[in-house]
Amino acid sequence: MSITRTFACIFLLCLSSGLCAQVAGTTTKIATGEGTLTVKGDSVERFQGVAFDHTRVPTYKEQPLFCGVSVGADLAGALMAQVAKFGQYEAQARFNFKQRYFPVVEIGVGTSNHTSDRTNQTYKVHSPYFRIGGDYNFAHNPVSGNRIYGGVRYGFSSFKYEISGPSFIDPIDGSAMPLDLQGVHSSMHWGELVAGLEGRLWRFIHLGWSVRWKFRFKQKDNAYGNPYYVPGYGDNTDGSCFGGNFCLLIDISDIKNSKKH
Amino acid sequence: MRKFVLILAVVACCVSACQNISCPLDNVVMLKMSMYSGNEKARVLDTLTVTLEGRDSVLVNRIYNFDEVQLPLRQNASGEVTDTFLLHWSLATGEEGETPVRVTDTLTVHHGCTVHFESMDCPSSVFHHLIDATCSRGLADSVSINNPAVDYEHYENLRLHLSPLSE
Repeated sequence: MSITRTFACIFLLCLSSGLCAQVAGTTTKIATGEGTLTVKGDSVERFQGVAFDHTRVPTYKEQPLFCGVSVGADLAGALMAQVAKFGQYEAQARFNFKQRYFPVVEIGVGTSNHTSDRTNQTYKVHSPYFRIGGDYNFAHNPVSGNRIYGGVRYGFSSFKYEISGPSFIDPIDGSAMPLDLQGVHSSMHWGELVAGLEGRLWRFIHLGWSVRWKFRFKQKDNAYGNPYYVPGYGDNTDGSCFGGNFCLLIDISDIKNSKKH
Repeated sequence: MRKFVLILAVVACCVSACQNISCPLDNVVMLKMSMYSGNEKARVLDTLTVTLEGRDSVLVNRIYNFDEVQLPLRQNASGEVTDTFLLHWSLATGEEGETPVRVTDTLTVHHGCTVHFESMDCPSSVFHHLIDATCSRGLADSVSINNPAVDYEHYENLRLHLSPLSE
């Protein structure tokens, strides 16, 4: 839990700093018929070529209905899978409608092989999950490639896990009973509220952060108690948890555009 | 926008602020058995000592003026266990110097065992579910299962109905 919270904290702080940077540094060049209009942040600072009497930023209504698809991978989850208590290898496909609406499909494999220092219990899981949902872009400028978004997700995972640890000592005769649960099956449905930031790193490569508040809808009960980690959901100690990801995205439509130019 | 950034920073601080771990103090669960006279819970003034049949260890030692006892149950990874408890009653006569009357009841509890995983930071434990309970008719008259789940909830699991003589 503490790792998750720490990462959530780091995500939020980086998100904050990213937003500041975006506000301070976003520069958009808009080609016009008679020159180039340079927009910094949300305001016009200077003109090159012939000056116009209005500073017009493209609107969302002007954007085509379908603007393309981007695919990406969660780098933070992969790093956590290597160094933290649990993590995930996750890929996503994101569809772009009018630069405003982004239906998303996320598929991954959650993994954990953690031994507690406190109790010497080991929890193992390696199972797939998926999420579907959508994001809404709140950014003022639809063509800058930078996005501030909020969204929702529905997630599901059906998984098997293992728990092993020190033997139980019988309170009557002192004999030992091993703790060794293998192939315990469970499943979970959950929802997520997402807030994030995405920026264009280079041409068709985007980098994005998101923080997520995850809450359980339904969990399949079993006789052994709650699983510690649910793939795609995270720490299952409470009915809700925080998570986040750090995604590298490739915008396929931008690849086509860059080839044309 | 600056307000939004400020709110995010505050949320980040709150999220990472603190963490509580509330583990049960004891990871050995106990069967809770209450004394009943008729349909009412009864306080017993006689002295009770409980042992397990075939073993020397004393599970409950000379308690008196009580209305419930807590008994440990044996654990078995393969599933079900039958524990046979001996209830050694020492009946109070009320007269000083007189030798108390001793009565022994046999309480048989058939139960299943299930490993319970609480969390990574709390030790796991073994929960039990009661399948059947019987007793001999000495001071006790009958026994009934009130709640079959023996876990951290400390529900009343068994009701030992005492014979009218002991009231």
